[in-house]
Amino acid sequence: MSNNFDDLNKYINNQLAVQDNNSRKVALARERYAESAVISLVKAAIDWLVDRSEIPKPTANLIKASTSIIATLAKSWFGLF
Amino acid sequence: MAIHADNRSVVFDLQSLKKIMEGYTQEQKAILMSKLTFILTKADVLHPPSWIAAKIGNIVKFLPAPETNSTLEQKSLYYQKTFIEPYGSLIVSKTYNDCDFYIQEDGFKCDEDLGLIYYKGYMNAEKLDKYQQKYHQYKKVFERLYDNYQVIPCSSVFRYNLNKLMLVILNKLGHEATIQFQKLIASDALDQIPFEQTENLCNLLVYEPKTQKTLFEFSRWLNTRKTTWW
Repeated sequence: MSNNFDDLNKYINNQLAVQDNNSRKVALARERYAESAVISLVKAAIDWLVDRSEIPKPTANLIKASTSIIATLAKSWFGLF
Repeated sequence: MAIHADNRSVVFDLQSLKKIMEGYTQEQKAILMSKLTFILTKADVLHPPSWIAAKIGNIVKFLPAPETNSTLEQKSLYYQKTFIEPYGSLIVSKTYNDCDFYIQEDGFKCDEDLGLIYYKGYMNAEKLDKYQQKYHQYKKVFERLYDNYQVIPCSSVFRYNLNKLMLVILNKLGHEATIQFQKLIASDALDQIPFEQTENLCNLLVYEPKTQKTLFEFSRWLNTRKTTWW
């Protein structure tokens, strides 16, 4: 009887840990994918501006190289988090 | 694509999927299969044994009993082989890169700028095991990629496994959709129910006609306990 109870207790704790882990994974995925999405959109916008000769290519490359900074700013502008 | 957890025949669903696929090119099939999420819905209908309501403070998290969990796992695996495996080689799955992931293996591709990892092909339990053993440091990456090939058992009534479902949906979203989805997926309480809302979730009432008495009703029992719990 005690063994059964111990097994069930172990099972419940294990399942709750799995649920918590999934919750953490969702939070992290949200954050990471939002960052990727913003970087991707910024890059697309820069390409569009280069195509329309609004900005020179070297400048575009420089901005693209610092997309992580742009992503941080854009996330706060769009209120993603 | 939702499959009822208590379903026994999937011939119709299988034929429907084949029919949908018939009109598409290989490339279109790949896009569709990479976007599709398969779920084993209404898992709460699988009982007895009883589901477990784990009370954590003022909230409850529902869990299937070990036997039900095993049944759900077996069903998920069966449907994975039935629905996903035949199109597995076409699927491109995605996860985020949180560990400087880099390996030279067929099917894997990294986008360093966007911090994403792509895998083209079918990741089954055997492949997952093989990669996890070979590249132990990236164990979690393979696990997340494998999530995308699973049939997810879930229950909206019990809010069971909704985080895993959300994770797989997120993995399959495009960039534009990810931003639009941000507000929708902001809830961090997908897998829990306030304790006071559980009173309607027990569908058993014990009544004795002879005495015309209700011997047990969950909501009433709950009310008697509330005074001692709160």
